[in-house]
Amino acid sequence: MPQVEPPQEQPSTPYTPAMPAQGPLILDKMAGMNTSPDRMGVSDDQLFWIDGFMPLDDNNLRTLPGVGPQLYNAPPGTTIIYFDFFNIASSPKCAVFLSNGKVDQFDTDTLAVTQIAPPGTVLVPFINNIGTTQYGNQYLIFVCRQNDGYFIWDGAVLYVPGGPAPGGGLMPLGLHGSAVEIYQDRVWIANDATIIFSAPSSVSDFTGGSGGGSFTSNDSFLKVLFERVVSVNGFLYQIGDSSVNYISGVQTTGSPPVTTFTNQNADAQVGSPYPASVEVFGRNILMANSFGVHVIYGSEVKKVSKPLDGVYSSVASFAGFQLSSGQATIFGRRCWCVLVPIIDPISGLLRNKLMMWDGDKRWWASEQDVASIIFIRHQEINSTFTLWGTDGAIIRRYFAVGSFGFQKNLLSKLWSRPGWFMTGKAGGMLWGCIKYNFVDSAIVVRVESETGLAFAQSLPLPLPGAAGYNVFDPQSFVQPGKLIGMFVSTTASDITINTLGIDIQITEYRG
Amino acid sequence: MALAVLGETPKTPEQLAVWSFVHMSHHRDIIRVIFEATGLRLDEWVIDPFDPNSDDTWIYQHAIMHNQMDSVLGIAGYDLSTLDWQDPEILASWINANQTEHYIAGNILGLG
Repeated sequence: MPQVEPPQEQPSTPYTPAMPAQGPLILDKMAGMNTSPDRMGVSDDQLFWIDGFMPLDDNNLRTLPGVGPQLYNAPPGTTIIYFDFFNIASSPKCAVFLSNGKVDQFDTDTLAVTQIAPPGTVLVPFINNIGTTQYGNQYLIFVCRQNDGYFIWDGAVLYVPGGPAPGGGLMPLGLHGSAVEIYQDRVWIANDATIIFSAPSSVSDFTGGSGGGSFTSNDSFLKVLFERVVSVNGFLYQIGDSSVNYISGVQTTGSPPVTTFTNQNADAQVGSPYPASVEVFGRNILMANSFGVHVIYGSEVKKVSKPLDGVYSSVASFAGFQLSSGQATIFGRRCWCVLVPIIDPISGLLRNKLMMWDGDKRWWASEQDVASIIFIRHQEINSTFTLWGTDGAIIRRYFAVGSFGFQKNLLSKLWSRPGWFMTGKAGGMLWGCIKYNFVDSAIVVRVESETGLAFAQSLPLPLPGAAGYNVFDPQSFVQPGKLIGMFVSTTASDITINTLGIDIQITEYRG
Repeated sequence: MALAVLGETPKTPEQLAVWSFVHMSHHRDIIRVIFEATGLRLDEWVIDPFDPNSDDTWIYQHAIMHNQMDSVLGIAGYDLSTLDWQDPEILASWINANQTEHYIAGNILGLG
């Protein structure tokens, strides 16, 4: 191969632009993915796409675990529509809402299944028609969008509308909604544009004479309805489809008791029509809507998902899919996940992806070793966050066990160095270090360019003989185009990519 | 009410947003409950959001709100009319004094 000497360095003038910077192209900072700019515009610290890996820190990009064993199976002929977690005393439970209107409870420790409500209890089983919360560690409370849609479960007895209420009295008739929360020791229910609240310290008395009540919002910014009510940091946030309000300063005084509070608007334009995507994250609220993921800092609604802009809206209106979210503690880090249908930038297919965030700057994506996830939720007990998900038939823990059952892919940026505007041909070496925490599946690095796959070169890396750091032998290649990037693919169950690098030597100039 | 937030010195824009929101909310609650209890209508200024680097009006209006609140509730109070967000010692002292007044007012009014 003819050797071409690089031109001598000359001072930069308007007529002789300086040579572009040389030096290796290195992937080691692992600062998360960024699909917002074009692949050429991604910073050197980031990757364009991360799927199945978690960017932990510098030189630390680790494959994500896969699903745990099956823990709940939908009865034959039914589909899992919605589930949520609660605890009775210290016993952790999950309430599962099925397509036939039945509600089951399973104990997440013992896996014992108990029927909460018989088939036909929930008349229209749909994510947006069901709201759940827990009252202390005593009751699961759930509401449905149907005429008599307020229910209480104490772990053994279901209290139904018109029947006896826990602690005495009768359960209210005609009460219903699609969201419920406990705030200031009162039950708050959202029913379209109306908020209904109970008397203090009561789960069944909503009468005005006891300090209960309701109000309906006719504010122009509400648009349609209240999707969620969420208690955080001493406030009750009302998440509308296109707005956010909050309640504070709740007081019940006088005889007969009258409840007053402040109800103010926080944001008159941005809310979420996806109630299952609204989550508490520390002292803030996260929610997803049509144009991204947002955090509510006090009254400021701030979009935090700009790095996802390249894929987030790739499926128009999410094809009618209901977004859901949850949290998980993975490798000691608390992460927030939202399930979004996107066009996978690798396969070009529609996939339901877990878009994940560390709460700071790093975003990444993942699937699990299931065909298609349709709903996720997290369980929090003893400050441990575990993400659970379902494909409609089975509920399992996610990110539980190292797995080679699903694909992990990376796309680096497309580097323009050393000189994209003049490169005719170049030769290169791929080098790096990968830590094999477990040796099972091989890793393939594909060196590619702006020409896509036409001239890409796949470089399978040999498997090491044992676990540990593996500084693999440099792999030579011919640069396939003017821009250069890497695609990394593996099904390995547990590896950490420390560093990948490319050294390029221009061998022929264009023009 | 997250009065504990008022005792924190915000160090990032996000923390400032939360602090400012909690602060304004508590003032609104105080004004509302005083009106409900006494019929007295106190002044309510827009003190959220604000720019700590360029808003002298905020200090003035906020001090008025505290003076009115203290007068109605019989709180001895502090001088909250002087603040430099760039001086850590002055800021810490002001944050503490402001939170103390809010805490006392909350206790008197049953707001927490």
